[in-house]
Amino acid sequence: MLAIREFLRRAIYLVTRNSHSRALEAEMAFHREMAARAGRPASSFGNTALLREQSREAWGWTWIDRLFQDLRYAARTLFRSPGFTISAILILAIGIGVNVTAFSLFNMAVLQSLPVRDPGTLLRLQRRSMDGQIAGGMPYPTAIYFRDHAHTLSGILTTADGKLELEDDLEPRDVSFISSNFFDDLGASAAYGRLFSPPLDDAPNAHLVVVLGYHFWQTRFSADPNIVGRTILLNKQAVTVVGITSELFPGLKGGFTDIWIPIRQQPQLVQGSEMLTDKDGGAVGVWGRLAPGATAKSAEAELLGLTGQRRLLDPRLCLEGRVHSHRPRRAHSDPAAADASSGGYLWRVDAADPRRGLRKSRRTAAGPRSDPRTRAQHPPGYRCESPAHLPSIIY
Amino acid sequence: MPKSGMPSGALALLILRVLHSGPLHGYAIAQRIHMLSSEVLEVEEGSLYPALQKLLLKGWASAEWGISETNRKVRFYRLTTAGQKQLEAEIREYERVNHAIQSVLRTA
Repeated sequence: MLAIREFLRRAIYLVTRNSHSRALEAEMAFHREMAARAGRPASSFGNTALLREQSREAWGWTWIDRLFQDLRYAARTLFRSPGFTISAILILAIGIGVNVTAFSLFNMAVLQSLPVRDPGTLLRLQRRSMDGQIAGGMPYPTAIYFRDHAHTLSGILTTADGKLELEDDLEPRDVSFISSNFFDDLGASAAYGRLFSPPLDDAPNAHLVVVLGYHFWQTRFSADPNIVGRTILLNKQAVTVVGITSELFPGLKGGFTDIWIPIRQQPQLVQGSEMLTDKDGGAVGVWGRLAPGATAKSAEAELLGLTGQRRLLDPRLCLEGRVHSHRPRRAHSDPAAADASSGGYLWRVDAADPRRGLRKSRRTAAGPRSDPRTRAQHPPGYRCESPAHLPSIIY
Repeated sequence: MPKSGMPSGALALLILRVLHSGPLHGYAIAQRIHMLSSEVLEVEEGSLYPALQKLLLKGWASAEWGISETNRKVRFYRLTTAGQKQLEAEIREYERVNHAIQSVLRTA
């Protein structure tokens, strides 16, 4: 109770401290005046300002006054040396900015899971060779084979990145070729128009269509909703814009995509590309949606079995040594940093090479020497080499 | 007679005691203590006014404006009920300590 009253008195003093201070000054002046009358020498009065401040200290608020004095002093000093002030502000701004950006990236890449529907049942499928090397992509026919035969996966998503010319723009645009179930499976919605749907966009005689990324639509098309239904030129071919993705849909590669295109229409837009038929290259990124009740482990076991079956069907086929599944993060990290000893649950998403989808993988006799153990398991003379930016993989 | 400073801790007790007789302004408090101590104790501003602020903070005294004997507007300090109780407590405490010191001085 006493403490509360004392606190109240302190609080009241804080509000009325200016008038208190004036009263104190007046009574101390009166005190000195009376003392002088009584014959006390003027030299014994001491520093009056200091005496006042010592008296005020009893109330415990002098730190506030001092703080404001310090701030005012600091402001004056900074104002007087603008060169120093500007450099100090710039250095602080850059220092803070770099830290915030670094943390944002770390947060996005490591701490956050993908902002898509049910990321816990989404798996990135990767190949692992006998000697433990991991490749991010696989041939499109393999992905289709898994889609048609795997029971532990309720859906397969395929993606491939590329760059295409839009109209007469100087810079080619980032495009993602995706399976037409991609948006539905990830729970994406359209800001305008529609997204892809398998019955419409997988038909053999389907029109060429694209969906625009929200941010690209805002910058390149000035957020004009009337673009939906219009025709634009991609690689000099007319394609129809059918929709715009919602603002926050990022896809699976960790950055925003300019233009989304059904992967089945890729050969029509990229003349001469064999991405969909090439059985050897690591051309497309593949994601699997776990069926109800299935686990990453059971999916991995089933895919390994399917890989063996494919090898039996076509022994000359250069096939994956092992299919590897892991849970997704929206990270781009170095494949060499992946922890292959963790029993098949790697936290890694392969860095997407925009050209990968357009390049036919090479088959060559040159390459690193293979382990005799692994070589013995393959028809002699067959080696696969992954696209140049990935570690060479020998199956 | 040479003038002496105030023993530490005794100033609040003395101020409370001189205010017991009635409201006084700061200078009068210092004068009263000086006189009553036969001009031995000298109360400096540097210790008097912080002590008075502490009395206000603790609620032992209240301050009000009045007119001095020289016709100046000045603050008078008045003992509150809480100050009265504090005075009694401090006198008891002082006597206890004084008694103890005396005992040591007599017997040691």
